[in-house]
Amino acid sequence: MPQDLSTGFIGRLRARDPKAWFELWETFGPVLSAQLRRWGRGRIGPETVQDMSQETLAALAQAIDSHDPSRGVRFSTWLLAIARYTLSDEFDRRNAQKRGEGRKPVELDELFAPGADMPSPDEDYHRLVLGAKVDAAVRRVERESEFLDFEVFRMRVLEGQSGVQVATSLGTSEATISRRLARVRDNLRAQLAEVVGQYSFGPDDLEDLARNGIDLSPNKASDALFDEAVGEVHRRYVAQRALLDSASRG
Amino acid sequence: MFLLGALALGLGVALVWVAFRVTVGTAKGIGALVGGLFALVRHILRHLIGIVVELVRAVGALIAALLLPLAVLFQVGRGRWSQSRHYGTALTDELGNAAAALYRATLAHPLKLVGLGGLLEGVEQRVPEVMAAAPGPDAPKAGPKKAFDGYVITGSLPAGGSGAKLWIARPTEAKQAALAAQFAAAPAEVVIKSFDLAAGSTLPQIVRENRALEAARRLGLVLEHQMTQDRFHYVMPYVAGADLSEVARRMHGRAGPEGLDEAGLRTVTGYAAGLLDILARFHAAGLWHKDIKPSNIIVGEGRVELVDLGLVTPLASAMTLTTHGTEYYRDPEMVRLAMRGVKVHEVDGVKFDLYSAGAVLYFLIEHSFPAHGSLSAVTKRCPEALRWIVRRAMASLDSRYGSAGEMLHDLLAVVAAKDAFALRPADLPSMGGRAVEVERAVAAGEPNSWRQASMPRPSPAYVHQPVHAAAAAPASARRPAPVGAAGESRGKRSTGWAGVAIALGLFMAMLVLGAFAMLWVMPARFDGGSSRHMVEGSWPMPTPARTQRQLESAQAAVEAAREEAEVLRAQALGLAGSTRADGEMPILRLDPKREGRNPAALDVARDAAQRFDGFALGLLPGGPSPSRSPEFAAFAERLVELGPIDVIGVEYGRTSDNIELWAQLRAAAGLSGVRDDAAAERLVAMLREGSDLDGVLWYEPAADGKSVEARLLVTDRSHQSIWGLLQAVWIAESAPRPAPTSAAPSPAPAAPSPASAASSVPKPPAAPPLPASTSAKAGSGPRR
Repeated sequence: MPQDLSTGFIGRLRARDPKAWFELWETFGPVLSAQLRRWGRGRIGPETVQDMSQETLAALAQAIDSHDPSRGVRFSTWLLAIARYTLSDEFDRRNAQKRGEGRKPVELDELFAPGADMPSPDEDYHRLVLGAKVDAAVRRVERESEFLDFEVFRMRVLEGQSGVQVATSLGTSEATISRRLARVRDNLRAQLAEVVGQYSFGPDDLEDLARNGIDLSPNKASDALFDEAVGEVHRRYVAQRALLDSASRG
Repeated sequence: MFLLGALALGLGVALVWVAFRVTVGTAKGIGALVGGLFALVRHILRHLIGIVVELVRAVGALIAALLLPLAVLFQVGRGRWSQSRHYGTALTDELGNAAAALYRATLAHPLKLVGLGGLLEGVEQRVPEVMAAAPGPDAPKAGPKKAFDGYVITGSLPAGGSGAKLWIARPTEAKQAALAAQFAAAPAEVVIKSFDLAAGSTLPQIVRENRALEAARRLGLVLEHQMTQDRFHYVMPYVAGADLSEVARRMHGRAGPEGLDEAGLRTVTGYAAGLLDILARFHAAGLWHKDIKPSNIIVGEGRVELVDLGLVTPLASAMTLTTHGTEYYRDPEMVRLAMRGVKVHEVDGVKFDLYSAGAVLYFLIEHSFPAHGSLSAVTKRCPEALRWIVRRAMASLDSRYGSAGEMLHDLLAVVAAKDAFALRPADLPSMGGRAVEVERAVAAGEPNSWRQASMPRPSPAYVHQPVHAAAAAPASARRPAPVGAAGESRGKRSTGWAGVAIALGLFMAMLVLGAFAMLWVMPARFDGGSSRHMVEGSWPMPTPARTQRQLESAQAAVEAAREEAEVLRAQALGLAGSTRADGEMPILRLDPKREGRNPAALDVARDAAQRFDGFALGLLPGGPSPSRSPEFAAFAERLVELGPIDVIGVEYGRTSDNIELWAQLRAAAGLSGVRDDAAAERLVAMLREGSDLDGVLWYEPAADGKSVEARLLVTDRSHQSIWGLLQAVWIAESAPRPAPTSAAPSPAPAAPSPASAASSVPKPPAAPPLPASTSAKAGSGPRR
């Protein structure tokens, strides 16, 4: 279920809880930076992108008070709209500086008005946001797990090594590897449910995981599929970000 | 019949299945082909549009550039020089924009269009890096080369953010002899970090530098220091060489896309081991470097050195944790903790340094930032055990290595392994693996390829203190830029210019399709131009005994660090609980001008100052007409000398640039004098409400017109006490006072000296209480 906007994570954002804002920045900051760099196409430097990513979150702070979930906007789309708003604002500002006069930038609320010129996020972008959510859940699991447990998960799921390889590497049995992996998997399912619930506005957001083969219900038969899907989403996320980073440099 | 029917049905199903698979396969193939075509068209269009856009932008910039000279001439004609300079700068910018756009339109986009974008990597990435790292001016713009007594300036280093100038100098023969008499080995070259008020340095900068100086002193790196009316400088050994980011760039430039070869990995593991060796010593000295990154690690003369002490923090500091550091090398967990407002002594700074060390090792292996923090994947060729070490160093706080020695042990096990690629994580000492076997093998001197690893040489012992300096140079020390004719430093500088020249050559050569050859040659040219400090792969082979000694010394350092950190932490906590239940504050008296006659008071003050390491103190003149008393200026300077106190808010007799803090203090105190208890309570309330300050030193001229009365208001670190820990009345008198009698109570016994502090948890200073409003007479302590 999407969170209760008054008491949940968005509620904390509205209450200007710095930890909630840091969490949001930590999770989506890199995605926003990469997106802004891609849109900027080399015309804006990394420092400006960094500033603008922060400005995007500041704009988010304004928008969050007037957010109406009934508009049916997905969380990822919402973030993107604000990022685009920040970017166009930056270009307007630069043009105004060059011309010595300014064109009034579009109001943030106009972006969410019916019929507004919403940014049209592509599938890659949605995948990137989903990857960021999975990444956030994995990080939480890492913080809560024993080092060896998490390393087993990392080697088996994120790096795709076989059980035999991991067991040999760590000098233990395959059964132990399976037990350790199961512990992390259970925790990851719980964290994924929490993270996705936290960063979701509606059913569309919630169905993202299932659409990508990540089944949150504990089920022995689907454990292998779950591992495979998580590994694939995470690897894709890492590769996408690396691509965006290199594209923005080149 | 039935069989035939079943067979026909089976055949039919099989045919349908085959037809379905063929259709799906064909559709997928067509889809992939169309997708590929679309991608190709998108790629072509992107670059073609890019060419057009960039050409238009170039024309636009040229048009603007044509108009601006008119504005320059017009302003020159009117005699408005600053405005003409402004338009001149704009003209330069526009010309730069036009050149960049032309470059992208004529070279970057066309080459990327045909898949030759890699040709531009050198021009777009390496050349700017080389140029950005170019050294500063060779010598002081004005003044003789012998601006510092006993030293001849030979070059300079890029200035960091401290506001100081960094000069490379050669000690004169007499100075060499003096240093040699004082230290185990006198350096051939030194760095002089100089704050010159006439050259733009400010007093707050000097005060802030106190922390770095204190750290350098603790590590035994300060050869000497001096403070005059208008200049403060200190001298440290100079570390020549290339920084690790430069070294990694060269190594990876030569290596293929798969990453470093075995020899390269051996070398970088040696660098990492050297870094950990140094960190163990920092931590043993109770210090947290806080800014470990490749550009702060210098490789030269066969050893690794850690520079830039600008952010060094005592592990037991009671300051609030800040987020300072460098992104990607700074633990995100530290940022999270800093946002909670925790104090430095409440966290384990050692672990944050270890995270950074792991990030540096990752950088050396991957030649890219660990952008994913602890989840950053190692994609290049790397032994599994080495990957494990990186992960363990960057793991969550509870899972991370507990000490530099522990990580160093693991690194040395990799170095000592016969075949590092065969070494499993389970074999690492931290995993309870073959540590003993590995060490035994090392001791037995078994031959192996990794044994030849470039282990860093121990640093020369410049120190005569218990904590031996691993290495360090002043903040931002990078490469030398000598004035002198020959020398190693000159080699380094010419490397930079050689890089630029080669890059320009490359740029031209691309036009005649010679780029491939140039790029192939460039790494070798860089090596050729490199100074002899960069001797990768040819470092002395570690002997088994030496490796064993390193293991032992690392372990000892770690134990010492743990013990000292415990003592310091207990000391800080003990201090926090020192508010007396009856509400009476301990009172200290100090005569700063006559400290020789009152050494006990000075001891107490010094001890307090050391405990208040990193203390942020506001100076507030009291009374209706704030004084610019010279006595107080002398007193404040003395105070700053006593310990690492950041004096902010108000400079000695002058309002500082921190107007906001100054206004807060003034608003709380009003025009009251230091004896006004109500105003004092308002100030304390301000401190307790979470001001940026840890204390206020409130002062005004005493009634006798010769001395200064001051009241020190301090909250404890967690701002929980009603009053401060310490409330002092200082008297600075110009007239000599009679020697105190032996019957006079001394504040000294209850206040442990710094030397004794290490062995026991000290009690808070318990000097005989005097009313704060009493203008106590100085000199009540015993003469020593």
